[in-house]
Formats: sequence, C-alpha cells, structure tokens
Amino acid sequence: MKRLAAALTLVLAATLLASCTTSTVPVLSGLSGGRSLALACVDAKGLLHDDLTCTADTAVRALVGGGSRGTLSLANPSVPSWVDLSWLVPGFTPLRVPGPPVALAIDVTGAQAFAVISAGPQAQIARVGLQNLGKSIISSIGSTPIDFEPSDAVLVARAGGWWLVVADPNGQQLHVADSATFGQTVQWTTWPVPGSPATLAWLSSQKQLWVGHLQHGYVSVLDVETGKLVGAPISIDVACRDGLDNDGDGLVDRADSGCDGPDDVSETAAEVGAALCGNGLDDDGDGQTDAADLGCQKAPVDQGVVDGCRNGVDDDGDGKTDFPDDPGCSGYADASENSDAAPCANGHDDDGDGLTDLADPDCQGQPGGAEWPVTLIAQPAAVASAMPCANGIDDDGDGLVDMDDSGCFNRGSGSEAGPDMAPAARIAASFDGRWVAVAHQGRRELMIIDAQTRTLLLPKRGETAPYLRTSRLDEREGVMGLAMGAPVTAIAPITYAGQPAFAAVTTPGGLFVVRPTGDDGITPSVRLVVAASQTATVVAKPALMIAGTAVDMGASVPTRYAALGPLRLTATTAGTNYYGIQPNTESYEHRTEQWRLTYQGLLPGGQRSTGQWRGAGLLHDPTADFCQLGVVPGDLVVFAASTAPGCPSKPVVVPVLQVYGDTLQLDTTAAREDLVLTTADQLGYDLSTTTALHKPAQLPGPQCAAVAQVAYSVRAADWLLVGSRTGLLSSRKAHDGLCADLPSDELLGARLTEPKLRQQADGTPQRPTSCPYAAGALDPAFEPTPLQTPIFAGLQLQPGCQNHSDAAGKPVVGVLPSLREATWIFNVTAGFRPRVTAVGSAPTAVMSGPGLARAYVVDGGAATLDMVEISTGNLLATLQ
Amino acid sequence: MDLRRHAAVIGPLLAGAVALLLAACGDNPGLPEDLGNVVRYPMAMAAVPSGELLFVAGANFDRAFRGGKVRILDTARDEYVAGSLEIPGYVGGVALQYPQGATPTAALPEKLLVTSRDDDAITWAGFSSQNATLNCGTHGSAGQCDSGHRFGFPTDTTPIGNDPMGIDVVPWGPGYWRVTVVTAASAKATVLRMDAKGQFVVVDQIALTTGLYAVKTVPATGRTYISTMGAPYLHVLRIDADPTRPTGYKVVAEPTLVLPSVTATSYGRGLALSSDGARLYLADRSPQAVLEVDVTPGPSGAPRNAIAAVMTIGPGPSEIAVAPTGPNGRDLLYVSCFNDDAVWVLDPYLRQTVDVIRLPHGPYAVTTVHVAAKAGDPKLWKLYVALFGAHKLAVVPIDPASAARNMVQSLLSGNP
Repeated sequence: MKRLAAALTLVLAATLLASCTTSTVPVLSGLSGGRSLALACVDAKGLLHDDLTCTADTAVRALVGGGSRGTLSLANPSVPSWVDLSWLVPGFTPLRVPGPPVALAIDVTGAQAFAVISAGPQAQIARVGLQNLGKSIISSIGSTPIDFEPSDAVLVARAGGWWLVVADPNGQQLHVADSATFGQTVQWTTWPVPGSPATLAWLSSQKQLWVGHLQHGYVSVLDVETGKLVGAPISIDVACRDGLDNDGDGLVDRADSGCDGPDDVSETAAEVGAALCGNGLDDDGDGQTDAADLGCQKAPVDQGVVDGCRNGVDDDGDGKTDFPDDPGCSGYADASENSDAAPCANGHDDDGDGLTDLADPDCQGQPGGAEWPVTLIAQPAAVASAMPCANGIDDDGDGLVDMDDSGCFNRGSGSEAGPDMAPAARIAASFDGRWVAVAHQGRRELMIIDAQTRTLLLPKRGETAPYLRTSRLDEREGVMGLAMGAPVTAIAPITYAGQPAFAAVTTPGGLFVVRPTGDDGITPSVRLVVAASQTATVVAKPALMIAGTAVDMGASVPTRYAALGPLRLTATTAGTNYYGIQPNTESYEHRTEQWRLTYQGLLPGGQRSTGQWRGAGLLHDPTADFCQLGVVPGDLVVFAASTAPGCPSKPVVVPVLQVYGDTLQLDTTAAREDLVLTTADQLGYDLSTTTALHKPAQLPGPQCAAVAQVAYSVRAADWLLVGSRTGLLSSRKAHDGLCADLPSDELLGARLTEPKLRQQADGTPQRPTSCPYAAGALDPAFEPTPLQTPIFAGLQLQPGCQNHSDAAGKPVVGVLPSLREATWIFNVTAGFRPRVTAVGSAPTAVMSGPGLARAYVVDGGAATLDMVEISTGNLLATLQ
Repeated sequence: MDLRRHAAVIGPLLAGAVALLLAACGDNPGLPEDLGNVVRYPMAMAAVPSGELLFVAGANFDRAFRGGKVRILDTARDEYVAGSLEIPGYVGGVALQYPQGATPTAALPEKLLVTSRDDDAITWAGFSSQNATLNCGTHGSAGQCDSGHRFGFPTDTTPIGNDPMGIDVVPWGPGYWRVTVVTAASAKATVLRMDAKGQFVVVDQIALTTGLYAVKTVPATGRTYISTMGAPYLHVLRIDADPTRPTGYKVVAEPTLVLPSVTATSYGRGLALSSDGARLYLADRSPQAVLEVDVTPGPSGAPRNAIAAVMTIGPGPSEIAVAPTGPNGRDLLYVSCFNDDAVWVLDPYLRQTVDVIRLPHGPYAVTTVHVAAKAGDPKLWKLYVALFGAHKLAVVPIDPASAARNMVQSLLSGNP
C-alpha cells in the first residue's frame, strides 16, 4: 500500500507539474486588454436562460474576453469570484480561445457563445459551449475562420432562427450567417453599409439593426429580414462634417459651397442677395431670417462684394471664379476673391501711397510682388509653413497636396491631416426599443435618438429639476447631445427607477446613467442622473502670478496688486461669494474648470505672423478667424519692433475698431508706443495724477515686414478672462466676414475692466480714502465696473494702491497701474454635476439586463470586472 | 568572533561590496572592454529614413564589461556592419542628427547621440557614410569617449541631470540643431543648441516631474512632448524667442495633459508619431494601453492636444513603432509589451488589436524599416524588435505582401 500510495503521489505530482505553464506570462493576465463582455443567465435548474427575462443578479454569469493569447474568463459576480476553469493548473485559469475577442454574443437556443476574434494569425469566430454553464463549466467547441477584420457582433432573430451579424468596417458591410450552421458549413451573406460600420444595436421590436460608424458622422438603420437600409442615415454631427448630403444638392460637406467650415451646421446655400433676403424665409436654416441673417447685412470691408467666393461671378476679373479656383479665395466663406490674392493683384492700395496694384511702381514687372520695396519680399518657404493647405507641399506625406487632401477644409485650415473628430460610435438600444443611444467620441457627446420617429433628441436648456441638462453655453457650442467631457467608450441599456435608461462609461473611467424620458417614462427629456448630494458651485482660493512667479499672499492680497476682493468667503443673498468671485444662480451653466484672469492677456491664438496690410489700418490675415478667436473692438494689436529703416524701433500698440472674420480695422489715430511696466517701476506711477502713460506712435508701414509676414499679437486692453473648458466667452461664429451676434454677457463677458477714478469738480481724479480699501470693498472714489457673465455675477476688480506722500508731504493714497500678464488663477467646481461611479481608467464594455439591478463593467486598463448598483451608483465589487 | 577564521569569506564579500558600491556610482574599474560581436541588452534603436541602416545600442545592464556598445545593422542583408563602437553603459535613448537640407528619404546621419545613465551625460559619435562607421575619439580607461564627444556631466557647468533617458534632435536654423534631453531622476528637460562640430550650448532647462522618459517633437507645431514614468502626465514644451537670453530663446511649459490612470507606480513610456504627423501615440502602463493624442493645430494655431482614444493592450507596454502597413496604406502600431513577451499590433482606425506577435523573452525597443532585400527588389516593411534579455534582434516581416507576415523570420545575435 505504501508503494502504491507513493506511486500515486508521484503520478499526481507529475501531472500537476506537467500542467504547469511554461509561459512567463501570469495566468491572471487573462483580462489584460479586455474589451468584450457578455452576460448569461442561469435559471433555478442551472440551465442557460433567456437573459432578457433574467431578474436576479445572482443568476448572472459574466463572460469577459481578453488576454494576449486569447482568453475567456467566467465570473460569478454575485459571489463575487472568478471561476477556475482548470483545476489542474495552479491559480485561476480562464478558457483559452484562439485570440482576444473583440465581441461576444450569447446564443441561448444553441447554448453557445460566439467569441469574435480579430487578432492573431487568423481572424475567426470561436464557439464556446454553455450547456453546463450552471455547473460553471464552459468549453471550446470549434471555430470558423473569417477573411475580414471584425469589430462587433450581435445575434438577431430573423427567418425563423438566430443569426450572427458581424460588422466589417474596412469592407463597409455586415456579414450575416445562421447561428445553427456554425460547426458545419457556414454560409455568409453580406449586407452593404456605406461608411465604416463598426458597432451594432438590435431593436427586436422593430426588427431593425442600428449601425454606428467609426469615421462617418451618422447612424445607419437596416431591416434585419431583408438586410436593406431603411431610410436615410441619421446624422449625429454637424451637417458640414457628417459625410451626408444634407441638402440634397449632390454635394457633401466641404464640396458643398454652403459649408463655411467644418463646424457649419448647414450645407444649405447662404442667405444672401435681394431675393433671399426679402422672402421672409430662413433660406439657409441657420435660425436667422432676412435682415437678421448675417449674409443679408452690410458687407464687410472688401469692395462691398457679398459672398464673393461662391456667387458664380468672377468678381476680380482674373479669369478664375470663386473657390477653389480663384487663389484669392481662402474658402467658400471668404467674402472676396481679392482678399487673399497677391499684393499686386488684390485691388487694394496696400502701402497707402494712392497707387493700387500694377499702378504702383513697386509692382512694375512683378505681379506676384508687393507694393513696397522688393528687398523685403518674403522667401516663399517662410509663408508656406504658415499655410499648410496653401503651400504646395504635401505636409502630411499622404501623396495629396493642399486642397486635394481631404484634411484641408479650405485654404486656411491649419493642417492637411485634420483633427480627430471621428465618432468611433458606440451604440445601444433601450430595452423597450424606443430609444437608441449613440456616443460620438470625437464630440465627446452622448446622443439619444427616438427610434420610432428616427429623430435626434436635442437636449433642452437646463432647469432647476434634479437632472443635468444642457446649458446656454452648451447650446452656443452647438452640442447635439449630453456633453460628457470625455470620450464615451461603451453604452448599454439598463433599467433605472423602473424605466428604460442607459449606462455610459467614459475614459477616464466613470459610469453615468442617462435617462431619455421624464419620470412618467413617456415624455422625451434627455438627462443625466445627478449626484445624490447636490452642493453649490464652489470656487477655490485664487492664486496670483506676477512675472510667472506665484505671489505669497498669506491671508491678504498685497495692496499693490489689483484683486477681485479680499481673501475670504462672504455670505450674500445670492449665495456664497468666494474671494470676490460670485457664481451666478444659474448653476447648470457652471462647469468644473480653471479660470485665468490676466491683465492685457494674450488671446489664445492671438500670437500670429501671417498678417498682411490691406491699406491704412486694415490688417488682413488669411489664416485667422478673428471672430472665432474672440477678438472684440477695443482689444489691442501689438506690432513688434523693426530694424528696417523708417519703421518703429519699439513695439507699437493700436486699438481694434472693428472685427471681421479675417480682417481687423485698427484705430490708427490711437497708435502708441507699447509700454510694459515691470514690478520695479510700477510703484513709481500714481494713476491719481498720471493719466497718460503712453506716447503716440506711427503704425509700422507695409515696408516694415515681408509680404504676408506681419508679426502681431492681439491682447485685451484690460483684464482677459479665459476658462480652461469654456475658453473665451466672446468667441463666436463668422459668416461672410461678419461676426455673429452674441448676448452682451457673453460678448463682453471675457473682459473685465479696472474701474477708473471719478472726476472731482475741478476735473482732477479723486483719491481713495485708504489703502487697503475700507471693509475690503471698492473705494467710492472709483466708478464701479461690475461684469456679468453666464457663470459669474458681478465680478469687480479693485485696483492696486499704495500709501505715499504728495509733493507737500501730505499722506495720500496712490492708485497703481497693473502689470501686463499679472494673472489670477482660480478653480471652479460645479455643484450641479452628474452622478459618476469610478470604474477604473479605461472601461471598454458595460452590460446589464432588463430586470437586473446591477451594471457590469470591464476595465481593460486595469484588467478588472466591476459591479455597480444602478439605483445608487455604488461600486459593489471589483474582480481582479 | 575570530575574524581570521572567516577571512576567506569576509574578504571576497568586502571586495564584492566595494565593487558594487563603485559600480553603482558609475565607475567600472578593472572591467574589460566588450570585444564580442553581440549587442548585449539591446535597449535603443534608430533607423535612417531610407531604412537601409539600423543603429542598435546595448546597455551593459549586468556590468559584465566597462561599457555598452553600438553596432550598425545592414537591414537589406540583416547583417551587422563590421566593427562596433564602445559607449557608456545603461543607454537611455538614441537619436540621429542629419545634415540640414537633407532629403527625407535619402539622408544619412552625421552624428549618433546617446544618453547614458551610467555617466549622466550625452555622448555623440560621428558617422562616416563612406564606410558606415562611428567614431567618438579616443576612449578612456572606463570606456568613455573623449571629452569633445560628451556633454552634460554632473561636474559640468550645466549638468543635464541624473538618469538621462529620452533624447530628440531637430534642425534649428542654419548650422544648428536643437537637442532635447530628459532625465528621470532629476526631473529636468534640457534644451541645447548643437553646432556641426558637436559643441553644445544650453538654451534652457526646466523642471517637470520625476521619471521623464521619452521625447518627441511634432514638426507641424514645433511642440515637444515628454512622457513620464512617474505620473499620469504628458508634458508639452514650446520654444519662445527671448532676446534677454544668450541664445535668444527660452523654454515654456504649456499645459500638461493629464492622462487617465489607475493607482499605480509606473505610467508613460515610449512615444511615436503617425505617418502624417497628426497623432502622437503614447505607450502607457497605467492603464495598460496606447493613448492616441490629436496634436493637430486648432483654430488658434496651438495644438489640440486632445486624447482621441485609449486602446487597451497587454501587460508592460514599452515602445511603439509605426508603419503604413494597414488596409489602404494606413498606419498600424507595433507596441512591445515587455511583460507579455509579445508585440501587439494595433489599428488606430479600428481602435483595436489586429494581431499579437509572439516573441522570445523581453521585447523592448521596436523600429520599422522599408527596405528591399537587394537592388531591384520591391521595398517591403520589416519590424525589428530588440529582445533585451536574449541579446538578440527579432526580424519580423510586416508588409502586407509578405508571405510570413507578422511571424518571426530570424533572430540576429551578432556576426563578425
């Protein structure tokens, strides 16, 4: 017996040792790169159950696909634990499949799961037997090679059976096969879907398959019985970027002359001209009719021509008509064919000598030159680098140059490669089949479509109801869904408060709950579930930067610096005032972001080097959209010093009189030397006695810079307010060279003016009575300049001051000028915020069931499976 | 205790401890020169644009010798060119400097720059295109190149800091190149101006976060991006004119990208740029993923710097190489996963893994080249993977036209 026992022990040990993997990869890496998730349900007998009627999370079994070698991990989440699928191998062992699955589909009828595998020597569909799932046993039962790269899969009921549909984005089609034929000879059928079909959602009630695309901004709908497209695609992006011919003129997006730019909401031709401007109709669908439409308003500065680059007329008589043929047109929205023409052929007296173009002697014999001395004509390469879409160079190396490259929307586009606004759409249908949720990752928005009417539900402006909805700023930014702030990487239908809803997960990892209806479950009302404990918006203590260095303030701001108020919290009738910063009462306008308030701050994008003179005081820049940059009249343009003869040797600053899309009209009579105070000489000034800090100066002439290389910067005349997420409130769209209107609290909400001293009877400025100002409030000697914005109420600066003696030795309070680039920085945390459950860093899949109380999330980054209680948002468990 | 009885043990122990101490301080007294032909512990690689030559730097990780080594591989024949160059050990990164005005596809480098964590300095070697050799002057007793070929020591006026890792070289005006080097321990990014003779002038130095790892400058915007192992950040630097400074320029730190992360102790690794220069890819270890960053200029001219995708992959993502080997010539990413003994192949268009290439132990540096086996043959894409622990290079055909695509074709150990 002893010998037998020893022999058995040896055999057992040998077996165990032989089963040990020789791989250096830990077996627990089975979830690494995890991307796919499927939920199976077992009934009381332990048999695979129709998961649509699964009502208890204890009956749920989760299948997670991942691993570099390809694994399928089985979890019993309610325990919670993973199921070890091989007792012979030490530790937890998943099921080996031929590669990491990108999608999983449960076939209840066939008691099998389909694991769709893209990686590995051969893309394939592996089948896993689930007959013994109740006993926690799954097994590989075969695989079918495929000759395309799959991205998603779903099982649909059609033709009396269950069919597997697999998305093939490269092939622009879906592959369909009867699930019962797997294991025998699989006959694939293909359903063409133009675009890049990548994700699938099945609406069983309507027998429809809804398809999201990788690179195309629309959703396609197919009839699962016929495989044919049903109706037109549903756009999920702005009309000029969605890849659709929205106005039916046969032209799509940038090819359509109605598209001013990639963010244009309408492909319809502009509303211009007497006929369209007087017919009482909103012809171009931009929400403005006739005289209110920008296209019908006074033409901008260029020869009075309206819509010169798409009017079908050779306005400049050069034999080339409109964009893209006329090189003087930067895009369809360019007002004139002249605006970007060569300096000797643009119809402007660029150097202001009274002689235009070839009439100017400097242009003689050189039509491509300039109206000023040839010695300063630019080298082509220098300008080329500034205009990637008009430089004749294949900047992105794809073999396509400038406008031949689809990445260039127009000649002013910043890159031939184009930004990444790809939707990489995720799609899911609600359990009742009434709603379809689509995540557009490029826009970072979640959209809801009414599946019955096939219309996108645009979220309405927020109310005081306890659900986060869109704000005025969101509407201004043209959101088409809920702004999520981060890409939504997965969506799934769930049941929340007894009603159909959606769970959406973002990267960084957060799980949100989205409701498409109000509490009645019927009225469309797209909203995010908000955090249970709502708090007011708070503002953190601001920091002050002077010359790039933080000022050590302690309990109070040094009096020499302008400030928003004393460093304390104050209770007001409108809520808490944080250090002089009062969030307004419309809390749904608030965003969690960092704000910077900078004296004479440089506008984002305001440092440029491609300016061109178009006559006295007209600065044109074909690469700029000054409306979008948020420039407003009163801002300052600073020109660098020049060593050229006859040019200012010191920087010159000049105010902006009028703002057009690509041109600024400057107030040449107010040009002055740019004076930048340092901390050292600040104390030598007293604004109570000194009013003229600047000396008049001449604007640099066109001869002071090479052609199309005028270097300049645009700054605020006073304090500039910029949010890290909101940006400049004064940023607005342009049409035909004119800037769109904005509400005053937005147009003016990006600039805060320091109050000026009131005048005494004798015309001299008053003086503050004390420094620091009494009670921390603005001294009555100042004329208040409170600023109202959609986010802040009554922002008011208090100028810097110092105590000194006047000429007679009498103690007085002096008012100090602020230092350029002095910056107040403060963080705002919005109180009205959605309920978020932290679920790792890179969630890749989420699922639930109609009767389930939990949602299950795969975090591919940390290789975990998380379980979240839907009603509370609590993270119940994390399986690693 | 009678020490004499234990002297036979204590003596060697003490000697060994002293040797370790000295070795840890960066000095390798008495260690021999590595005269073998194997590139031991290959750590970094750089290929010329035409793909015909691949520079492979070995790290001397086990301090068996006094220094590391660089050899040059003829990628058409998959054979090392005769000879090698001794360099300081613990290579951090390598970069090649090209003549100004060189055409992108026909350029051969003038210099190879290497960072060494052994001596906390930059070493550069001149490259002779006539005989494909490297030269860095007369070597010292510790294997170091002469002083004219080194910069940034701890004892220099402006040291570059401890543990230099990534290095990047771009043309910068007539006769100059801008060199950016980052240090992991000192958390510094140093920007230098280098002339044709290999003389360095410090432009500026900026403190960032510890664990700085890789550097990549995006030509379209001129921004320099820096990954860090120590925090979930991607740093962004800009060079501004500053007449008050000797070189006329200063370094400005733009807003740092905060990356999604899990609680971990290790974060960013290698950086790579898409073929069209519009996307920057970062190999990240927390989460284990490749992050795609949109670096195209926005309406203001500044780069968008938006995280466009997070593509989860296997454990230990390290370095990334890019090649237009996907459908319709679009980019695929080849990502070495050190802890997975594999290179994961990602399709950024699909945002998913499309293949996993199994390899022997410890893949780290990766490079792709487009080269013909011999004159007249079509050019095909190949992937070279440095197998750190195996002291070998894996050669993997990755061209769509290759019959053995994504399968290891050979393992190169070294040849005379």
